[in-house]
Amino acid sequence: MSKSYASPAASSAQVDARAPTVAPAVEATPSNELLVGLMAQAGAQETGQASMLDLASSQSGPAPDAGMFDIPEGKDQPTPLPSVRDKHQATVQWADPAAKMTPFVKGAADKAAVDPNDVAQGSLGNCYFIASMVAVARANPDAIKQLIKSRGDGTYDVTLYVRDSAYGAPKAVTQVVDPRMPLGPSGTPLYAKVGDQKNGTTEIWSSLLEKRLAMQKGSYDKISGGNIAKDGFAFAGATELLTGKRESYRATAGMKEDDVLLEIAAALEGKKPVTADTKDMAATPDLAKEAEAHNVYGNHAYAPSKVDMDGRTLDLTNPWGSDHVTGLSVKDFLRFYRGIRIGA
Amino acid sequence: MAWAAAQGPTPPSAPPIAQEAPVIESIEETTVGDLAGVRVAMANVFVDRYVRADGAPAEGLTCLLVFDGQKVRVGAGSAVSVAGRSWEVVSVTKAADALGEVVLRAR
Repeated sequence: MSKSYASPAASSAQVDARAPTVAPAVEATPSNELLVGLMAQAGAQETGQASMLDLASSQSGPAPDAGMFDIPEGKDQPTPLPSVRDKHQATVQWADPAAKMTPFVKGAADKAAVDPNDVAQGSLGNCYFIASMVAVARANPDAIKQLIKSRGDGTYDVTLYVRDSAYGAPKAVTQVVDPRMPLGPSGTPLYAKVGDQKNGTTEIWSSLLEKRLAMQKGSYDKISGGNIAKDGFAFAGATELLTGKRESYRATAGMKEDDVLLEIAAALEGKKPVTADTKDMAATPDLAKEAEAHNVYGNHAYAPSKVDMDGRTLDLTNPWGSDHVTGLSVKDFLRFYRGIRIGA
Repeated sequence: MAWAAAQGPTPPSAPPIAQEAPVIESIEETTVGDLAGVRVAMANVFVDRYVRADGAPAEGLTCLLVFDGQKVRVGAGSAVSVAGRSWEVVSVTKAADALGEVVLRAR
């Protein structure tokens, strides 16, 4: 049996100050045994991240023009799914909500179930949010776990910290989110990728948080690039959405090398999420080509992971989940990066 | 009918040729697309010199494709091989204050 869902519209959010039970790292329900969402992992990366999955529902076909699609009954969220981008409408499928997916799986290379290596960007220009998930996962993995609570029926209460206005304080706003995520033609998640796999169960916390943000704005397109700041959506840095704590921003112009090293080192040591934005290099191709050699790309966000005070270098995680920056001299950091964002 | 019989059996009509829709994918700047199952990132759109698929030099809007440890700068009319499959670059575009985009067609 299946239900038809209309093209997603803006979701109604509810303020929820409850503190329900944290979702288990891996949950197995009897219904999982019945599932048709086959996860055929074609090759896990060294991080243990699932790279090729078939999460598509056997009842889900390409979405017709009207944005209608069929999904199996049960375990679906009460509010509409967020719209995918227009150019993805013709080919998108939605993951089977009953596939073996769970928010948190501790992979072999993970220090905790929530690990920076769980995160990888997809076909959406939201590096600011993906890098922030990496940064918070690194600084305070428990903060991520607190955002996603199992409702015991295959859906989750997923919380983001959202402001009513630029002058208001961020409030915890919770919505029910099911595990369905948009899949591309090859059956892999179209946007944020899935994390680790264990016992045939796939980790989806970053997809859930990305979807929750898309629900907050009404569509995935509205969280892409500069669209996030439109429609009166106010926030002081993307890590604030995840922690409820305001970010501080420092432009690199005018910063000294020692300032960069000390501030980022202090943030990492103090378990504060830290991200860094690169410059727009479209008008400076020579600089862009030099930066490319270090895996640094223009108009992109990264999450610093290490500072070598003696070598005066930095390592930064690329939200792509690959092509990370290692051993970048602080001198080059100041040439390539325009700002540093430190959360709390 | 007599004529047809005199000419022998009518040759079977040619089977219809299967026309598969061309596979076209697009990737936005700073994002990671999927070319036939291979994750391919795109970045740094700017005007530069590049080489077209026929070997001719060209100059125009280019972008960097990053995949499997490779970095390849491409522009409209160039070709790139990803995991053994050849892709033609249809276009590289960038509007003001927007992410650039590359459109590729499987060859």
